[in-house]
Amino acid sequence: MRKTENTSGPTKVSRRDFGRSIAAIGMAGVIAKATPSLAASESDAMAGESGQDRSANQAARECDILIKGGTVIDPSQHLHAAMDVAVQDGKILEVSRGFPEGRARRVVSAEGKIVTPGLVDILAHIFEGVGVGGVNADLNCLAKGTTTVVDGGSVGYPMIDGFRKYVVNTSSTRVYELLDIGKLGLLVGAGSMENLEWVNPQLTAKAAKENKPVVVGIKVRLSDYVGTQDVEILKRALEAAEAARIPVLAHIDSPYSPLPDLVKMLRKGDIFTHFCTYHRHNVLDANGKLLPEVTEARQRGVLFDVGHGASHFSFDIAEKCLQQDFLPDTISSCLGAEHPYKSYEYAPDLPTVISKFLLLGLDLDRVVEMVTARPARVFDYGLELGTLRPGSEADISIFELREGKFILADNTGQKRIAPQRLFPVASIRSGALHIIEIPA
Amino acid sequence: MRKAEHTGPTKSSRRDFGRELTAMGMAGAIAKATSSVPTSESTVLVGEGGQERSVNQACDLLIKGGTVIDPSHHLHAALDVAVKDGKILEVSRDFPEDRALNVFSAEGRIVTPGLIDLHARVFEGVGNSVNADRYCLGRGVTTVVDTGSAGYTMIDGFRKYVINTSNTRIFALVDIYPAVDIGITSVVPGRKGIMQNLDWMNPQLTAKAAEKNKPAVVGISVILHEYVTGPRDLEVLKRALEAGEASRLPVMAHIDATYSPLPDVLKMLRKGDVFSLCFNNHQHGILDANGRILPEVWDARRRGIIFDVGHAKDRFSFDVAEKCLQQGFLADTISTALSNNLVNGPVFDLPTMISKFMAIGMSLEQTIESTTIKPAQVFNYGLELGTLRPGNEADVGIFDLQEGQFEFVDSSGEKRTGRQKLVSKAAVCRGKLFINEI
Repeated sequence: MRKTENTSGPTKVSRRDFGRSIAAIGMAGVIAKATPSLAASESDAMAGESGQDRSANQAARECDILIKGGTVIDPSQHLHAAMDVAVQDGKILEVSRGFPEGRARRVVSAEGKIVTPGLVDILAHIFEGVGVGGVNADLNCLAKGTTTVVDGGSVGYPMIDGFRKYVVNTSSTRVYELLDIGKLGLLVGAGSMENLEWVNPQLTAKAAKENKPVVVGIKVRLSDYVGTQDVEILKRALEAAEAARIPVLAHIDSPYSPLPDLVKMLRKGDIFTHFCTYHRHNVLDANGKLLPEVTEARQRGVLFDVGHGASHFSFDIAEKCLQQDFLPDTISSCLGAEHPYKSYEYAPDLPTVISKFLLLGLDLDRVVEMVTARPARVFDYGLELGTLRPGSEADISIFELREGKFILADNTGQKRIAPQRLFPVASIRSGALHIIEIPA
Repeated sequence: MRKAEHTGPTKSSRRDFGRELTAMGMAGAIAKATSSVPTSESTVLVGEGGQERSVNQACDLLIKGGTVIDPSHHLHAALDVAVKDGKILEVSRDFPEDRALNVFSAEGRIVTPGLIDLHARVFEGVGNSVNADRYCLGRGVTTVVDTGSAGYTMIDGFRKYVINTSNTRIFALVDIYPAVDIGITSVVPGRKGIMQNLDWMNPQLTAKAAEKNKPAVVGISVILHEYVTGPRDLEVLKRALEAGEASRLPVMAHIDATYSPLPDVLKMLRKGDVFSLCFNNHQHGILDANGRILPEVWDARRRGIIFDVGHAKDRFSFDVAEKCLQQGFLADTISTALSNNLVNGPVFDLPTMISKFMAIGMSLEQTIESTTIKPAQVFNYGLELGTLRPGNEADVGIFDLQEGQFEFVDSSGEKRTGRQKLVSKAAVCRGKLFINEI
């Protein structure tokens, strides 16, 4: 992955440039036609900037990076059209047709490519070198089209300072954290919450509050692998979340207790991840029907996230859910190494997980929404993500949707042949371009 | 702490070549690459004799006019220390100032090999650790051994985030327990048995992680407190020794308030293993009821077990240390067991530990020996430390030895008054000068 720094400074407005405003007015008209919602929000963004006449100013401006000729898919603005994306000073300057190349310091051709808001992955394990499963964020997220990643409980409250110091502050990927309710985080394998002394809602809530907005939620693992007292552990996680006023992301995969006992405890805005798991106590009954408690939870506002990982995804379960019109709210990767010394079987990256849902029949706009606009609303990141709305952070992903025969496997070993697969080509985070070299 | 960078005297490519080799860790190659520097063997001779200095010899940094104490070659004299290309060039009288790019006056000060702290926690931000550059290098400690902040699941990260980014020379002991500083230090006091999940103590994975990370990893550590291990301390130690055996590394055991009597623990330790926290005053300490050193302790010393101090919050007693001194039993190495809650007392830093031992009767030379050449011999660091011998890594400590009435406190709140206090003024690590503002 190559990184290109853009040199940005205030753009000079000359009289000569001002005279070209006619073109700009025309361009603005095009935008307004294509996307009424975009034009409205754009003028909002402009108002705060200089107070000058928007069209005149726009014509005068240059941009640092122009992503030219791609198909822009931005579900936050109901946008799916051939458009250019102009980036200036780390922000989206405009999304429009025919932005003049001569006004861009750098032009990135997206001819035949798909341009989306930078993907937001709400579950991955990225404390590289620490714990059982951390991988490098920049290599496995930014270099795969994910510009924002939420680490899922690599650390509990005693280690959040270290995670910020060593990962959040040093990564090119935008990194957030779900603080684990267990103080051991992912440092040990089995039984890490067997001793409830290590599950402290007060200290967890305190650390969460002190570390906002880096900490966006509380992570709790409900699995017989980490402890048998899952109802009590979830209760403590909810207590911490309540005190810190943030959601809980609950890893629910083969819990000790039956699923209904746990699901009914989740609140509106909490997230149930790994819902496509094939292990016991999953979302389906013996006849493959969704449990009533699961559909009730959705009605209540509980969100359902994929969290593929190395052991949480079955094509069959996902398919049965889709057949019953139960779609994911968000798609996440749950990236990580299974174990530092046992196996290097990585969970698939986010574009691969997306490709699996394309294979299962969801359309492209829908899955892009599940990895951009939707996850952007799940947590309070302290800034607007998952959109190409002008004025917002210039986080952008460029993909190639290749046609062919691609073998995609789930965690049960089942293989399916996909006619399409999404490959990342480049990522832009805060206006910094990262070109991804993909195999031919 | 100010960092003083020095620049090269010439732009000759030969010299740059030498620097590059140094950076690559190829000790000795300099001598061949740079004609003005004799081979390392003859450099030693020049340095020790202080007579036959080449007229071409220039140095990057000259530490001028101090009293050099270097127990590794029984040196205690007014001498200058010249540093070039990250190595000690010579230790001699009256090295000409005009042949040095940078002169640091050590007039009235003590100059020692950079101190080595065998026991501290420096994985800052993770558990209860301190920042190494601030509390080690900033206090004259150029080499620190992190004592088990990381187990096998964290050691890769410790290297990546701390060892590779610090100015202080850092080595690590891999703890047999994967989350020792997270799972133990802030647990409810009096709660027993949190290490009882023996599944987490995996000798094979620990040895593998240690082996993979050599020479950054120099040993295995294990905590043997009853409140941690419960009644299974010998089983826990057995696993640590197994990991040590498999990775061919010594084990440092924190032996304090153990469940089992000390002789049962000591007889398991092998030659070269380290007994840290040796001057604690808790149950199963090294003294019997009459204050006599246990025969098994003498026996362990004869077998080659290393006795290390390690102060920590409540693991050092003046009374025990004094009784041992009276019986002619000195610790081999003096360390801090420093962690985040101890930097404002009672531990402070390694120079304060040295001052405490001077207050109870050790000489300055003895304490410097216990914090330089002795700890340098405990582990295999992959290079020679703890000495100012020419040709070696330029790690130097520069201290004020203040005179007055100084009160020192141990873990039990007992006080001793010393007449001298060692205070760090500057340190050189890998040839770079760091000036400490205290």
